[in-house]
Amino acid sequence: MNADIHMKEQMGEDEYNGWLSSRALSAEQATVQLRVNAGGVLHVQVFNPETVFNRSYGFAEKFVVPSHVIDWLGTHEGEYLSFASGERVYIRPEVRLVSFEDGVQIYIGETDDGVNVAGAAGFILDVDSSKEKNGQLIDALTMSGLCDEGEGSRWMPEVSE
Amino acid sequence: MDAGGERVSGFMEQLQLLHDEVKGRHDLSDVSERANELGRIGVELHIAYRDLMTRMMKEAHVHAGFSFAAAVDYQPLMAHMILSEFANVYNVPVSWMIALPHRIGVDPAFAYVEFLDEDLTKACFDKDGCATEMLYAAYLDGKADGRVDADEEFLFSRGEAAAMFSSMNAEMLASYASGKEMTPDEWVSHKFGDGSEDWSFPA
Repeated sequence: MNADIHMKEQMGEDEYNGWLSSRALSAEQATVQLRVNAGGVLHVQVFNPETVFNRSYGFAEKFVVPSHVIDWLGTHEGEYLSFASGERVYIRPEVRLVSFEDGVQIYIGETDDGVNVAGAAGFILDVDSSKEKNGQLIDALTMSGLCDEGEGSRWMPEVSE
Repeated sequence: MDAGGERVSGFMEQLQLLHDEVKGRHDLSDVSERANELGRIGVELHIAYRDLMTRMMKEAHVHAGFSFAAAVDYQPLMAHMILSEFANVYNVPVSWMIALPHRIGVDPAFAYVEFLDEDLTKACFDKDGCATEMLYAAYLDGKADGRVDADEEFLFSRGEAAAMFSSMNAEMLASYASGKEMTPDEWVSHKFGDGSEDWSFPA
C-alpha cells in the first residue's frame, strides 16, 4: 500500500469498513496503540481517519524508552490487530501527549499515582522535542486531537525531604 | 593530546602529561563555580558524617539507633563528585582524574584537591606490580572516547581477584542477556540507558 496516500483512498468502501471493523476503529476518531513485544523498543501506531504522516493509516514509529516501560508492555497479551498486518500484538492504554511551558510529556496508562516505578501501571515520560522523530510524533498526535495543553511546568517526581 | 607539537598517543604518556598539568593544590573556589559549590556540599557531608559518628559513639552504650553510621563512607562519593568537575574542566574522563594520586580536603574554611607530586606508578600499581582497576577503567574510558588508539593494548597485569570478579560478572551478564535475545552490550544499554532514549523519566 502506498504510504503517501490514505488507505481509505486506496481501498474500496466495503474493504475499508471491513478493515476498520477488524481493527475496532471508528472512521471518525484517531486511535493510538502500543505493541507489547517490539524487541526492546516501544512501537507506536496512530490511526488518523484523514491524515497520512508516514503510513497510509497515519503514523508509526519505534522509540527507545526506559526498560520499565518495555517490561510493563511485556506483561500484556495483545488485544488488537496491527494496523499494518494481521498480528494481534497491540494494546490501547490511555496515551496522552501533554504540552507544558517547559516541555512535552507523554502520559501512558494509569497515571494518577505510582508512575515510573517497577510494577507501575502508568508512566510519565519527557519527550525531547528536538529529536526529529519525536517532533513527528508530536505533530501526529497533535493533528489527531491527542495532545492537551498542561498547566504550568512538566510533572516531576516528588523528592522526599 | 599534544606535547610541544608532537602528538602523544600512548595511554600512560597522556596520563603522565595530565598529571604534570594538574600537579599541586587547587582551591575549589578557584577551579570553577561548580567546583566551589561541590566543595560546600562536601563540607556539609563532612559535618553530617562527623555529627552522626559522634552521636553513635556517645549513645552506643544506651541504644543502637545510630549504629548504621559505622557502615557510612561518604568519601568515595564526595571524591567522585568533585573529581567529575575536574574532569569537566580538563576535558578527560573522570576515571583519569581519580587514577591520579590525589588528596581531597574539606573544611568549613577551605576545600581543595591536591594532586600529589609523586611517581604515577605509585598510585597506579599495587605492591605486586598489578595495575589498579581505576587505571584499567581509565584505559577503557580513553579507548571508548577515542583519546587512546583503538589498537593500543593494555600492557599491564590486572589483579587476579579483580579480573576474576569481572570475568564472573561477564559470564552472568552474557547468560542473562542471551535469555533476553540480546548481546551483553545491548542489554546494558537497554537496562541503564546510554543517553539515546527518545523518551525518558523526568528528573
